[in-house]
Amino acid sequence: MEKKKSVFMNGLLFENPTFVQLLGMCPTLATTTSVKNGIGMGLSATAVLILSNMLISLLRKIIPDKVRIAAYIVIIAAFVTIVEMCLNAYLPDIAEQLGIFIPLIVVNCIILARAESFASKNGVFASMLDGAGMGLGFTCALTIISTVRELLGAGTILGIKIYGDTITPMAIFGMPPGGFITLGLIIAVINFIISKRKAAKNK
Amino acid sequence: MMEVISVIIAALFTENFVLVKFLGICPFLGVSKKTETAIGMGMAVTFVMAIASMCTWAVNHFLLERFSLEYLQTIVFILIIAGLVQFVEMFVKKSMPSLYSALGIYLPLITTNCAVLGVALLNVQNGYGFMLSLVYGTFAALGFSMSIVLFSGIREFIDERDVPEAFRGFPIALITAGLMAIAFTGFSGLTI
Amino acid sequence: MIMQKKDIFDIAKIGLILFAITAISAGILAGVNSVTAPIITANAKAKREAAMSKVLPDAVAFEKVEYSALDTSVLEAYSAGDAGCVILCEPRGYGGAVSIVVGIKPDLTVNSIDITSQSETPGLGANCTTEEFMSQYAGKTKDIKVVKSNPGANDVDAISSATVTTKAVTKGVNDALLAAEQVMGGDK
Repeated sequence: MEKKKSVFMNGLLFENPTFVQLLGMCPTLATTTSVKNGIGMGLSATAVLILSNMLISLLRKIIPDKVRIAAYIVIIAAFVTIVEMCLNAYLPDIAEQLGIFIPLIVVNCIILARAESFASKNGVFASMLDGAGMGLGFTCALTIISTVRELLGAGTILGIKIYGDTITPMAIFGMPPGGFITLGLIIAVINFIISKRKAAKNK
Repeated sequence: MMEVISVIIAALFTENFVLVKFLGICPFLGVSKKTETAIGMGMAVTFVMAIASMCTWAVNHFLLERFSLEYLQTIVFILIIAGLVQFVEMFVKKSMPSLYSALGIYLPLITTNCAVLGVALLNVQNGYGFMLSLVYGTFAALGFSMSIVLFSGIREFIDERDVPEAFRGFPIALITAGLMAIAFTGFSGLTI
Repeated sequence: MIMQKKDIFDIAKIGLILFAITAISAGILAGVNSVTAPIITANAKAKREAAMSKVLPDAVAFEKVEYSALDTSVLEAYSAGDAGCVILCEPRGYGGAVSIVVGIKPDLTVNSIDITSQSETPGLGANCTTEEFMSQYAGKTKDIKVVKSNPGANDVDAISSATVTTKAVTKGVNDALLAAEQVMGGDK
């Protein structure tokens, strides 16, 4: 049980795909203009991650080693297309907002990286847990970034107005440059906390 | 003709893949430490994107649309791209071994460069014909190359400076990219 | 000789497995598609009709009308019988296309407009979706002009720092009014 828990927590915190491993940067920057989009993207990617990790782990003895990457990509692309169809059918608003970045989940490095480095070597249940941990880690990261950007850029969180009558929100944070700068500052803060902790431990 | 020129301007500046559309960020951050490798990466991506635009257009037009199998787009496109990248990898390995070792892991990773799949999907979404798909693919890739080469120039410079510890590495790179993106917002609204 | 046979067998096996994975995926996708495709089409239709009813609440039913003209931003035109007509147009704004639904009364004045999608600058041009801005177009007739202060009877006050967006929306509405003239021309 301890091990299962650590597999899950690894993805969520210590090996957070966005802040620590710096994977999947494109959707991280592109879809975090509002909290709703960020969460939508994170959960879509999580669904694909859990499903593809599960299936790849199930098929790990059948898939020939030489063509494993091609096989993984086909499996991932199939799941992404299913998620895309379902979003279009049942949550058309979010599907429209995320647009091209839904099919682009296929090339999100996090998913292929987990397939290659975890699901192809571990059991079904552990792989699904790993997918859930990594996916939720990604979702959390997107939520944090999009909260900062929506608050600073539009003065709202989840569309609810926080401020904006007396101070004009800084629209730049909702635009592409704001994405880069916000992510840079958040990673710097995390680096700072980690280095402070290390220094405290060494004493 | 005007349409071609406006697509070129959009692909290079107003809809720059990296700095405005956020496509191809992974190699943009990963392979931009040295200008030399950045140029190599830019060339490889341009080659793959130009050919991928043509192939995906042909497959989409002659197969998927004809048999109304549009829902297979993502799977088919990614397979075409993976095959192309494999081919480029073999070609570079044989003819340019020094570039091959410099690009390292990032060469096979062109498959997962979202700019390549992105351009294929955007061509379909924008309803471009064969000619415009090729032009858009090529110039979007050149726009990517331009950004990554400019960025690597700045990063080489930053490496020699005394950056606060917490900002070293990725954070300062991201903030630099943000400043470049601010410069590129100046292009938006540029039309003919 | 035996080795070669084994190699060929291996390659065939690998190819077969890969092919099987692809074929099964395609089959599953076809299944999911047959379930979701009708819902997606129905959604799109419902959304379009909701937007059209919003700008022309008196309309009972919409009927698509062929319309084409040079240098127009009009995409589709729908006649709503005695209630007027609805024009879908997509002029180019600052950050890309701006999709507008324009409801026009039989006397060729704008009933109301709705901006269904846009990618203008947040905080500036994106303010075109506010009710305050869109309501300016109600009651206007063709050749609407954009001014920066003291709007007259047929003028629209530009969004501050977003003249390009305002002009784009205005071009769309003007194009729509021209189209409406032709669509409803037969009735008069």
